[in-house]
Amino acid sequence: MKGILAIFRRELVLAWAGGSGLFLPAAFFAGTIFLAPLGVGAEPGLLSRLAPGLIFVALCLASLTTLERIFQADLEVGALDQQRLSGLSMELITVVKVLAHWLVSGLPIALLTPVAAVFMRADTVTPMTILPVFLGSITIFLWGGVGASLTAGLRRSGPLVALLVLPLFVPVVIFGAEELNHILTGQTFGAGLTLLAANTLAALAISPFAMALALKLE
Amino acid sequence: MFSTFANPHRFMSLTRPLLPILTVVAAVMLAAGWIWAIGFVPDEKYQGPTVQIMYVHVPAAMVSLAAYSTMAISSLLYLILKHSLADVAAKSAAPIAAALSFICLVTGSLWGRPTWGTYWIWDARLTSMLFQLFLILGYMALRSAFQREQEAARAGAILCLVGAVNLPIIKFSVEWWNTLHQPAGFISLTGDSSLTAEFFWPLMFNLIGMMVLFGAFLIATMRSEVYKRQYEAKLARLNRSTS
Amino acid sequence: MINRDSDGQMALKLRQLTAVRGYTLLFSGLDFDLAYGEFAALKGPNGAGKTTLLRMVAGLIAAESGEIEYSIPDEAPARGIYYLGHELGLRPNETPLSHLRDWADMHHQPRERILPAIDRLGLTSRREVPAWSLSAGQKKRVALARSLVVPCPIWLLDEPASSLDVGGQCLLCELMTEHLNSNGAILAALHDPMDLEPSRVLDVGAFAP
Repeated sequence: MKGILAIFRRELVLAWAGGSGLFLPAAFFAGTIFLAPLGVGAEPGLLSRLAPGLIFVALCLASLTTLERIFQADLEVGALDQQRLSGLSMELITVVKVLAHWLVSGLPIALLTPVAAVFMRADTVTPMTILPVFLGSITIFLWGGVGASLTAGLRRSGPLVALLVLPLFVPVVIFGAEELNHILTGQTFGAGLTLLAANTLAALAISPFAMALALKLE
Repeated sequence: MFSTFANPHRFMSLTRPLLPILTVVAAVMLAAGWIWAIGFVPDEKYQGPTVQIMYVHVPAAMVSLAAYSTMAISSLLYLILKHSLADVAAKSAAPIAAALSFICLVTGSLWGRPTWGTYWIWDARLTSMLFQLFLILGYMALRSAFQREQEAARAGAILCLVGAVNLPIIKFSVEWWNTLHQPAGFISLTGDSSLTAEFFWPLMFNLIGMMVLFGAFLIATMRSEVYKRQYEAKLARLNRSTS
Repeated sequence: MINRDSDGQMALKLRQLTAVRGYTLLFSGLDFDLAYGEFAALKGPNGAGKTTLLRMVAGLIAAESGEIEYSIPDEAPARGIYYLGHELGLRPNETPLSHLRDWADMHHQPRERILPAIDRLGLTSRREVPAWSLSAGQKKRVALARSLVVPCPIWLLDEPASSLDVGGQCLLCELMTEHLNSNGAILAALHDPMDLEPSRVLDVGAFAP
């Protein structure tokens, strides 16, 4: 336990110190949201209808800005080799890395959602607005981590990662945006939340094995 | 011996006579299916002659799914057995699966023009086919980004399996989201299907013909991939002995 | 296969190892035993597969075929292998101190060893400096400090002397001698001869096809 916590702390500190995109994804997310009304017009009805989908699309795009670095940074300096020699399970190491990465670049996006909803002129903005994006961003980072692990050894893998993980984001966008729509229009929780949570669990169950297997590549 | 140099003699000698047979069977089945469909099947009550696009669209859709399944099963076998022939199969099936998905999308959109009045509707089947195409394109792009065949094989196999797990989730989510989809049941003969026997049998001929054609294409691509790898292995050996 | 009780004195038994890179067979049928207290040097021309063999023994890449048997004492941390490769494992924003602290925690080793290790490797004044401002030799010293913080019975070293200055090379010899005296085993790929004489030589080139 102490060993895996050490890896978690190291990832957090390095993400913080490296500025490897602590607020970059959040800023990207905000920028996308602010740009949208300039493109489609600022009528309240139109904007609030677009809000859930736009927020989730912006979340997907924002996650792509730093995704490729999750494993690459450690792989290219040989730190990943050393971690594999630590005897800790690779599945656990990869999940911890993804979660640390999510904590510094995914969670800020979730916390920004109410602000984004206000700018999108949504009807009801409550703290609950955070929930779908919170779950959705974890899922996106886990599936995204699979893409990142497969391309960790490649140079300039950003566009490739985007192509690989795009189809995996489809259910998150569908379930998440549907649920966010429920919340922003003042309804109670719908089936979207359950389905989104189910997808999060599926990602949590499957992605560690895929990432661990991928990083054993030479 | 080592799987990298596994020499698939048996596969090569087995498929050499099989390939022309499959090609002829596919040609006969498809020709028969087409002549039957165009010449002898009456126009459908509501859709008129445009329904004949179905004889390409539906087989392409089903065989492209079969091709992706081939990729997934071969990938799993490769990860377990480490036999390069399984990887050759997965790699060779990918472009065929992509082409079939593409044909399915194009014919679907051409069929949609007279039926729905537009080239594209976010129909559940077409939408999940679109993302299946993206999965396959991603697989091909990932493989081509690696220099060494073994690395490409492993990364591709992992991606393909993750995609195979996600494909049903994607299909489910798209169907859940979609409210404007076509009535299901293209293929069941019994029940109150919209498809009666006079449409069903020519479709069956086309479907089987397309399946056999996929088999023929797969074997042809696999054979050329095996030749390519044998050539590269020989080249590596020559380079070593001259240096 | 990992044997946790080191009843015998054999640290490593390599049996019929085969390595492949791309379509090239690097070596095949490689047999080698390494006993505790022994220092074996890996020799062979460029591209013979010295690094590949070391990474294979470290468990970082899979062998095409063959088997590796380890005997690791029970009290050894983690997998009992210290691997010093070409990449030194330091992220640009890590400092020697934070790096070693994380490494000690990761392996459940006491942090008290860190400062003496840093001192021993002459990094005291640089211990809180981020790695991007360290020289290659200084980074190598940090990597060597890991062997003191997390003591492992089997050392796998890939060109350990490269980028070290004269003082650093002396230090390396000292550390290796101490390790051998405390009944450790060393397998090292060496290009230039070292002051420390290896007890055995494994010529990878002899197993080339």
